[in-house]
Amino acid sequence: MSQFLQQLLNGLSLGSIYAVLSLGLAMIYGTLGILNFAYGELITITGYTMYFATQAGLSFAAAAALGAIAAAVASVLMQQLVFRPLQRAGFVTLLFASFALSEVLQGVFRQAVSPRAKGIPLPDALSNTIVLGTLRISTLTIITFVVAIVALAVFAVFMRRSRAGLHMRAAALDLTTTRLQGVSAGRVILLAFALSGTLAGIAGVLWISRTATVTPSTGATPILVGFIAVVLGGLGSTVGAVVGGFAFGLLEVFLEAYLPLGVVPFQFAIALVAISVLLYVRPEGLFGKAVEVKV
Amino acid sequence: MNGRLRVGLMGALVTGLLLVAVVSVLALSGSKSLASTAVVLCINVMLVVSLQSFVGTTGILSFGHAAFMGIGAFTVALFTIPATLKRSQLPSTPPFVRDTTLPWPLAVGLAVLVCAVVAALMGVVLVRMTTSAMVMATFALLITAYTVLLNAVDWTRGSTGIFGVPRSMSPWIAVAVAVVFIVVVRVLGASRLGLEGRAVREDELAAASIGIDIRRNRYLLWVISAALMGAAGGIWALNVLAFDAGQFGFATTFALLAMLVVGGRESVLGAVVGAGVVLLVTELFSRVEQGFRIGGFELPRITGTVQFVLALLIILALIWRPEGIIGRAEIEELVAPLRRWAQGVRVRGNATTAPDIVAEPSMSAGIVLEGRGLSRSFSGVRAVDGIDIQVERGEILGLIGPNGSGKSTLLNLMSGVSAPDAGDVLLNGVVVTSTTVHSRARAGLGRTFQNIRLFEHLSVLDNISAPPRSEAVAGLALLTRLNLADVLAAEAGTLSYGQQRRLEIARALATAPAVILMDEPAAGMNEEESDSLLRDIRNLAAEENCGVIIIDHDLRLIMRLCDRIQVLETGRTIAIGTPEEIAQNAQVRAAYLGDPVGGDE
Amino acid sequence: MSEPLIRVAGVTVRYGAVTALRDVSIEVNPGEIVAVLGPNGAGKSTLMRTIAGVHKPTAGQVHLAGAPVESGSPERVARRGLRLVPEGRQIFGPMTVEENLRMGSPDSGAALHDQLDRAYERFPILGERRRQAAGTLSGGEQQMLAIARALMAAPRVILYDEPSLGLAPRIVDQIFELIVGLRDEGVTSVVVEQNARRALAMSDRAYLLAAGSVKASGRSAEMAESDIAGHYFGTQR
Repeated sequence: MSQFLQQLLNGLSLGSIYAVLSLGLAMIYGTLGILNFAYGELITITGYTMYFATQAGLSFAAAAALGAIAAAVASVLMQQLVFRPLQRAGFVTLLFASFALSEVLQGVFRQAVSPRAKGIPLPDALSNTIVLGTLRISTLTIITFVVAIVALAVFAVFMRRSRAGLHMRAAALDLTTTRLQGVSAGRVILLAFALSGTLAGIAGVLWISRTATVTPSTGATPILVGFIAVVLGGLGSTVGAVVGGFAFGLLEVFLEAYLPLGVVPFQFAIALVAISVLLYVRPEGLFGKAVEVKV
Repeated sequence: MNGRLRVGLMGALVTGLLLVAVVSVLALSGSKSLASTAVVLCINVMLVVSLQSFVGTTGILSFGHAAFMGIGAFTVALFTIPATLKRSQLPSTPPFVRDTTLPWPLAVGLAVLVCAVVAALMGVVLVRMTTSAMVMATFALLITAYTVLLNAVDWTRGSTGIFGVPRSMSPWIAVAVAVVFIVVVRVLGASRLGLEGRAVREDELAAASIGIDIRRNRYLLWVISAALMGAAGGIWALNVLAFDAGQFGFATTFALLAMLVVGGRESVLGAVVGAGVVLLVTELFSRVEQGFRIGGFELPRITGTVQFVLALLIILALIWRPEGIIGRAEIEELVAPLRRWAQGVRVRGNATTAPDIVAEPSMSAGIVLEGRGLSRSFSGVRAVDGIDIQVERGEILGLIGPNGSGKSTLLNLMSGVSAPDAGDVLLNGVVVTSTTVHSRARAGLGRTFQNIRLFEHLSVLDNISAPPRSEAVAGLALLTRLNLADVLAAEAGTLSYGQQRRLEIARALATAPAVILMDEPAAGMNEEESDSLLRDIRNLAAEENCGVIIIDHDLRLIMRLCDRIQVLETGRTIAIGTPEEIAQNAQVRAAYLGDPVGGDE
Repeated sequence: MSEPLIRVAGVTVRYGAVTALRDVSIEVNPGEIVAVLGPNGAGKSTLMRTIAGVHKPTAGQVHLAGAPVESGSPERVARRGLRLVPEGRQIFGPMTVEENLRMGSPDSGAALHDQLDRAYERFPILGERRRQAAGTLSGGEQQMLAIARALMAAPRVILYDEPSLGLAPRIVDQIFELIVGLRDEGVTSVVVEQNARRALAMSDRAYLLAAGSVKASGRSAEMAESDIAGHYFGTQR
């Protein structure tokens, strides 16, 4: 029982990172129909920014803030430099372009920084452990969960209450009608990328705090998880992405805890097969809309 | 053999000859490294045309093919490495694996089998998904296969790899196999399966409405393409003489997709050219990567240059040449003499394989399509509210009514695009209410669309050859009758508006329908065009003895064309009768012009 | 004669092989209600969307208050005081009534609150349902919401695309009364209607569109119904 509770807490903590991550990915898909493969590199960018900032003597907190901002700026630049010139292209072309962009960025990291991993010193406070009865919880687990939940809540309030959030929700429903109300499409898209980048940045800070290193291919696992969570939750649904993120985090932790030792390396594969079975039953994902046409 | 297959085969042979020429130059150059480059080129061609047979034909991006390449490579390595080497490298595999060594062609055959089985299992889930979810699923496949191969250390030794595959590739064997791949993929593309796949790629709804079973089509193409990929991966292992599980991840996927996108996704020639260009870039920049000397200066080693340059190349290609260097064309469409020959073969092939008489129109009269008490609501609004409708063979029924009266919804209920909340649809007296669009099409229900849905990038001839029942119909005769015989080889999207409308009708007729639903066939036509359309429809209804239900807002056309007219308003029938009766009906006039206001009438 | 508020001069719109509008010219003067009649498929919606900047004309020009409209940039046209109440309402179904209204307003804070108060005063039913998802409203209420949303920005001119579509005659009367009432407040209106009798009864001038071009125009009171019926039923070319 206590092991179950322990794993539940770990799972929720990891899941909360995945939820933030997936939300940023789902937002861009919801507004523009782009699945941004280079989204993972935003996390790498956060990592390198944190690395250089701590090297320059900044505090961890300042480095984390800079890291998140860097991801937001990079996300906007991606839109301006790559996606905008391709705005008339279809889903496949855009996906492929983002795939290529991801490779270009990894190449840049290798040339400009180093192909080898760079360590980021974490404050000691993060590695403390709190003992609650039979439970041992690291400070990082708690902080991660709290930061992620606050980020999700702030995002939800922003989308509900603010004028910009209203415009973005409307644009995701019907861009032309939104423009007919005098809302600039360009601004909404820019804002969507900035917000998506901020979410990637927050997830990035939490991710880097777990790994304490950054390499040119740091973004690979997060993007993979994000894609799976988004498909699991239902393409185009932001609620689905958050739920999918939590679900995948829990699945990962529980598989790791309860699988026989020899099978643990295959946990990723097993999780994917499990999700495939789920998608066989519900091809549109947990929160996606069923397609009516029976073709 | 029909014309399409003959042209495909010939195109494959010419493309293959080009490859043979390039390989010969490299192999006979005397340089050992150029000769081995030639082998790599051939293997890249095998890999990328296999990928093309799915991605190009269906238009669905697959990240998963590198997984099949890996599975194929593993299978071949496992069964070609001599038993002695296997015993030392893989002591814990079962004896029958450890002790079995197959000649390489058999091992490749086994790889084909294994990949086909894996693809067949996964395909069951895959084809149920929407296209974007499908792309993600192939991505999941890549990761799953990658982690499994890398972690099944008892079998693969992970990233250490297994080695000792006997040397068997030479430029000449490689090029021969590559030509076989090109032929198989081109013939597959030209086959019924390939044609239907391309039709689905162009327009799913239109494809279903001519009787193509989309899931079945995608399933078969997926399995075949995976099997080919497995063979290509196996041969890849025969060339590198080892298997390393770490090699079938992102980098390989990326290189494969790069070849396809740079060359041209929808063309086998494009795939071949892409393989060549990417190899050239790779060769050039891997020199840079190793570092070299310019006049005394030692340039540093720069790792990852190749991938970086490839990625940039792709982004630029997507922005400036989204369809790749070659675009959509195959070799016989690019070279003028071949083009003339190919067109001749296609036309003759079509004329000889198809009987000149349409599959005998049944002379039976009687009701061919019937709707009974059909209802359908959308978010509380009853779009169709208990409508009865029927049409007989040879009859033209007009369906009119103001905007929002439920005509299009009714059409969707009858063609199977959406299901009614209540009521039944009967086709030739059989209840088909819960059947799919494609099965209704096969049972004799044809349709055309309000906003023309042709297979835009397919030729006129391919458009009317796409319906599964088209072999029974004299396609050429149809085109001649609808005045399209001069534009057989043109892409449908390049035709004039009137020609596109007529082609869509011809395509519907090529399904040998018992009844055709036409949604605004005259929309956007000028009077001359709509007059000639009227004559065409009338002749066709009489000659094919099929029923026609036609929606149009051009009441002038409807009044002159139809035997009977049914008028809808707010989801209900308000009048049925001859054109004369309808024109005089006060309720109909009110529905169109509005209720008399303030008693001024 | 003073400058018309909207001037469409020789506009042709093509999509691919389809010509939706052929050399269409119309004018709308300040303070008028102009009806655009015609059978379905005549190009009426395309004309409205072209004026609103959604479509780019293949040939010809659209002017709003003397300056050319920014074709392809409907948000800029909207900010110059033009609103389109689109066919089928196009309200944001999952959002609340109040959120839909906020979408229409360029303002926030006190100005927005005044606009909301005025909207609820004019349409009490919307006030009652302000927290309800707009998609759950009845057809007539949705149409009122679409109009209220357009009014939030105090526009100079409103284009209505088939405002009577799918509504009961009693509701249509209310909507048309509202449009006439707005003329007295200085709002210019262009009303696309299939329902010719009603549209002629409430408008000042009318254009008849068929097969993408203008077939007749004039003062509404003087447009002969027989002419229009001829175009609808195809007895007249």
